[in-house]
Amino acid sequence: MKRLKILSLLLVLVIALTACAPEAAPAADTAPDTSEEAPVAAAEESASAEETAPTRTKLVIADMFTPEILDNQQSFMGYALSHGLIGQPLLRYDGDTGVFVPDFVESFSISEDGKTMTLKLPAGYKYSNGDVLDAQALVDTINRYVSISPYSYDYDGMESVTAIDETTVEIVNAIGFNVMNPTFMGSFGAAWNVAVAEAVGDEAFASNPVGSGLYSIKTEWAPGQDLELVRNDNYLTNNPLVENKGPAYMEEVLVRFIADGQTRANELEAGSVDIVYGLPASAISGMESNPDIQVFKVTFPGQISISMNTTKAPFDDMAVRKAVAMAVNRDQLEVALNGSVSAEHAYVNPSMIAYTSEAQEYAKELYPNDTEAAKALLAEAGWEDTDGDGIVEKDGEAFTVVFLVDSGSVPQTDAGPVIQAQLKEIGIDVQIEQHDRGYIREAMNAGDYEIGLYGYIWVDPDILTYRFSEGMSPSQFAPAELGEMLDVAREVPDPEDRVAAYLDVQKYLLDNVPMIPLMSENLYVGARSWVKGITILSPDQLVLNDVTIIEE
Amino acid sequence: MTLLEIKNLHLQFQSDEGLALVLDGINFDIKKGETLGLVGESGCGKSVTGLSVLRLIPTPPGEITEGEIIFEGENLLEKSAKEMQNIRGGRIAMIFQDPMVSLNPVYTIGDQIAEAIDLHQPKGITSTWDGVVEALDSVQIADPESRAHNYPHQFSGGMRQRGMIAMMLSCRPSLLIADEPTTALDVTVQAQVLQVIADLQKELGMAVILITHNLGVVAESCDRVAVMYAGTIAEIADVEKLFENPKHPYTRGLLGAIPRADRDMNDLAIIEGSVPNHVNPPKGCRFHPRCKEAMDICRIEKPTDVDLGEDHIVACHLYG
Amino acid sequence: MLRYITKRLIFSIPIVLGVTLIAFLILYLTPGDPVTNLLGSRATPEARAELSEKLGLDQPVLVQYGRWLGNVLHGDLGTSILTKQPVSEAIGSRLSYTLKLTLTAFLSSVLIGIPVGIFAAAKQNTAADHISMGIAMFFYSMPDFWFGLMLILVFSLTLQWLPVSGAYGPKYLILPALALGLPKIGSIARLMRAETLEVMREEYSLTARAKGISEWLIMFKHVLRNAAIPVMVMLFLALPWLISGAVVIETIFAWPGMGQLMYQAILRKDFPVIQALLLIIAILTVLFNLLGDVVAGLLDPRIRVK
Repeated sequence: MKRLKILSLLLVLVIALTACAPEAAPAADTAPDTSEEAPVAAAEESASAEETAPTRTKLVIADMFTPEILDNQQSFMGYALSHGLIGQPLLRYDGDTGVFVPDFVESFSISEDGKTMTLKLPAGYKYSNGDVLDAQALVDTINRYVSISPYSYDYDGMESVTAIDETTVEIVNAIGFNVMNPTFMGSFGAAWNVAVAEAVGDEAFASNPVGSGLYSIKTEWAPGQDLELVRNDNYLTNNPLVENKGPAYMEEVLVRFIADGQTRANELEAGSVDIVYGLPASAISGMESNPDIQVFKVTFPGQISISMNTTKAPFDDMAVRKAVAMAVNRDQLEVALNGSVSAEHAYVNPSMIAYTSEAQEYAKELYPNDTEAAKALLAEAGWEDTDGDGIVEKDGEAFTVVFLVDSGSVPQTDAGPVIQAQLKEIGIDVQIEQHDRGYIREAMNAGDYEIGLYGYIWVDPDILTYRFSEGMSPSQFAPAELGEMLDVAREVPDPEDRVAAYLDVQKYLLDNVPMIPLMSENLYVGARSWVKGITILSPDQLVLNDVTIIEE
Repeated sequence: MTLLEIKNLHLQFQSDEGLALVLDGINFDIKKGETLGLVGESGCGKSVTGLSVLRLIPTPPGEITEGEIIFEGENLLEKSAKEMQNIRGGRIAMIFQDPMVSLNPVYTIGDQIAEAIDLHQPKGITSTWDGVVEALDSVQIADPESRAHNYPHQFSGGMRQRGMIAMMLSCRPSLLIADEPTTALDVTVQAQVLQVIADLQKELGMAVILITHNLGVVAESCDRVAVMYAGTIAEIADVEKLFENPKHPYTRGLLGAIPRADRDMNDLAIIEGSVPNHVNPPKGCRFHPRCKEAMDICRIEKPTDVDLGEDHIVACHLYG
Repeated sequence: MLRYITKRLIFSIPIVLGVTLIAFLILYLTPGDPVTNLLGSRATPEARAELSEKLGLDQPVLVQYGRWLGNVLHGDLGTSILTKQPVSEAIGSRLSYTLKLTLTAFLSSVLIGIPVGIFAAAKQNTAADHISMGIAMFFYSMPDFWFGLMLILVFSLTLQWLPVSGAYGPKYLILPALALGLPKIGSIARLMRAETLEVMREEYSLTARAKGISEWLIMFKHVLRNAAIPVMVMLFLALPWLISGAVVIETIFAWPGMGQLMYQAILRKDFPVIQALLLIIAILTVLFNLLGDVVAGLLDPRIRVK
């Protein structure tokens, strides 16, 4: 027994020592191929054959978000890269033109009144496992979403979904499709194989679903493990934003879930992964100067804003809120946060639907960063520094407030002290308190706070309907007048009309400033330079259709 | 016949306060089969004298700088480490004051005795185990066969010291250095332990150096006595002669509190003043600051050994 | 001995239950429930209530605890809110990774730390002692994640000898195990040295020397057996902590162990998973405590009798 123990210990040591030897090249079969120097000779030989021939058929991606499950219909998690590789969105949103384009569907149209959508499916299309994906299958998948998804309210207002013929689906929605489209344009609303889900049960399907995306699951997956994907040879797309409309060039994809940002950056630098989804801001400057690495920046839709409780002193006074709006310096924030955020002045940011720079201009004009003007506003409201301690007082009370910050959000915890210093300059003493997000949401929704940061991510401006409705408004701001504007804006079918409707909403909000838009979070995607043809439509839409690897 | 002779032994220790001359040129000898008492106040150097003989002084910080230790005609200070290991426990044994801490708590008494026997392979023993049982039997431990399987904590204090003696004497040494062997024991078992030593001494014909500060023990057990003071030997004499006719003022002081043998014999008398420190000892005779008969020369010159005849040696200017 | 172990095990049941109850209360009474964390910012109060009911979170805390405890006693650790995976399955697939990592780190730190401590004690106050203890002190004072980052920088990025992260073979184990083990090497070496020196000063070491035993044998037979007792107890007490303390290292090295599971579960408030992990850590702690005592008893006859 004793001898056995000693033997096994020796064995461990021997293994450790041999593995330490420098000549031991990466050998594990599932390990990403890291040989950077090795191909030199081989590359020279093949160079004469064809300059642009792909040199590798397996792509390795490191993802910052670990998906809890892969069936997007049961998942709680947005922005899971893997979902989008397995599921194929019905539509895509072209941010450059502000219009929806087809992906899975051949074409789609919305009726004049905006209440009926007709989807035309490609004929004879199949799921990755070969099952038929016709109109009835799509109807089934939409119905399953309504019954099983925690986000089934995405399809609020839907009155019917019908298969007209084998390739035509008609959806009727009483409130139009502005609320539904964000789901359709992502993997949440993709076609997931209901027949398989019913056969194996929702629990088994949760981890190993079948879709019609670019890739399908190669080896059975369990939460926490790496995800091994293989090309879906049944794949076809109608997405005008990609060149390759057929199956992917890369035969296999390995998705590794790496929670630590620095580790992801290290892996990219070491060349052992090809694409890193989520680089820490601290690693960016070093990588941008590295010719072997390309860096993409994508801004999340939505934003982080300062939310103030408009029903409680001191922020029930609009002059005070305006003073705060003028005290914040977003450029300072951008610098202090290392570029991990972009300054935002209005409520609809450039990554969202119905964005317009007009709202940004309006905001800048209304609330320029002006400490003196802010102080004057405070003085007007009765807040003045009478005892010379740098903090303003009113009726003998110093302006001291608790400032809530989400302890789980790096941009929020980093921004806290910067804002604290900026508000100090106009005489407001801010005490930062970090709490769990759940706690903060509950406190804010209940109106049990003074001021704090509030973040949300959503692609459609309809998110404002929630932020400014009774019981869900962190700033306790839900005037009927605004509610009516939001109700109208949510249903406007024409994209341009919608931009105008939300410009009005934004102006109204800016005039009242219950929330001060501050910044949007940026996602940095890094890739080795040998990866060609990367398209990133939004933070959850890494499009691999055109990707090849050509090592030099 | 002389078994052990210590000549001009100097021992120093490196301490935080400086260099301490712990033994300042001591001389004495012991004959075969004889019992020599080594007495003095604590810190006088009697224990380190015992440890020096076995070269068990930790070096550093201690170092024997001068002198000779002649054992059976050979200078132990010239022996290699390996040779000393053979001598320790084989030809010279040593036992210590506190039997509660001098036995290894995680091995049985029998194992610890067997270790010594295996190491030195004494003659006249048929097997290690027989040697263990015999050794325990010789120190009057009842039921030695099963007691050998006991751990030290299962023995009483007196039994442990007897176990210790059994272990040390199992290899029939010719010299035993017993450093305060009864001090930590109950009065009732003190006599018993001394008797065990005396019996084995007779049986094995070995000499014993009995280090103690108890003059009663000395009077009872010793043939000769060496009185130590601050790293020097003040006086050596036969036990009767020393008690009847002490010459050194220090010896006289020690004995002053013990008028006669018909009274209880207790520990050493308290002499006014305190034991000097070894880093900065008094010049001349180290005892002079406490000596009532000190002369000018005592403050300047270190006294040499004066032989008063019949092996009575005293280091004092009174007799120079 | 057997009776003692049985008795200890029986006494530890209320301790484990107490730990789980306290953990339960802390989890459930802290503001911010899983529902708010799970559902996005568009979730209506109705949607939240519905999910809350589905997960059984609308019941009083003690009812929930009772239900959980009943299931645990039937061997059911529940189902992860997030992954819908049975918790036992989720933990099972991770446990082997964590054990592989922590035991390698633990064994190598013991195999290095103990000899270094003995060596330093044997060479007390020499240059070798000062240098090895200086290094041990450095290992001991630097946090494991710092070692993790440094090791990656040196061996993965600069020398390119070893992979950055993952768990695809033996060599992927080296850096995380080192990062986790180095601080332990420091503390074990320091403790071993201190204990060895203390035992060397014990009178029975002098007795052994007076018996004529060689220094080598004194060290390996008499000193080490005694010095090992407190070190062993410390090591056993540290083991469960080492397992749960691997969270940071597992995160840095993307090692798919329990630490990662715990990290994700806490981040997303996956109560059943957190609860099961705490239960396992509590049981491990009790077991390793007991094991430490048993080992100490085997090494030290004085404890054995009591």
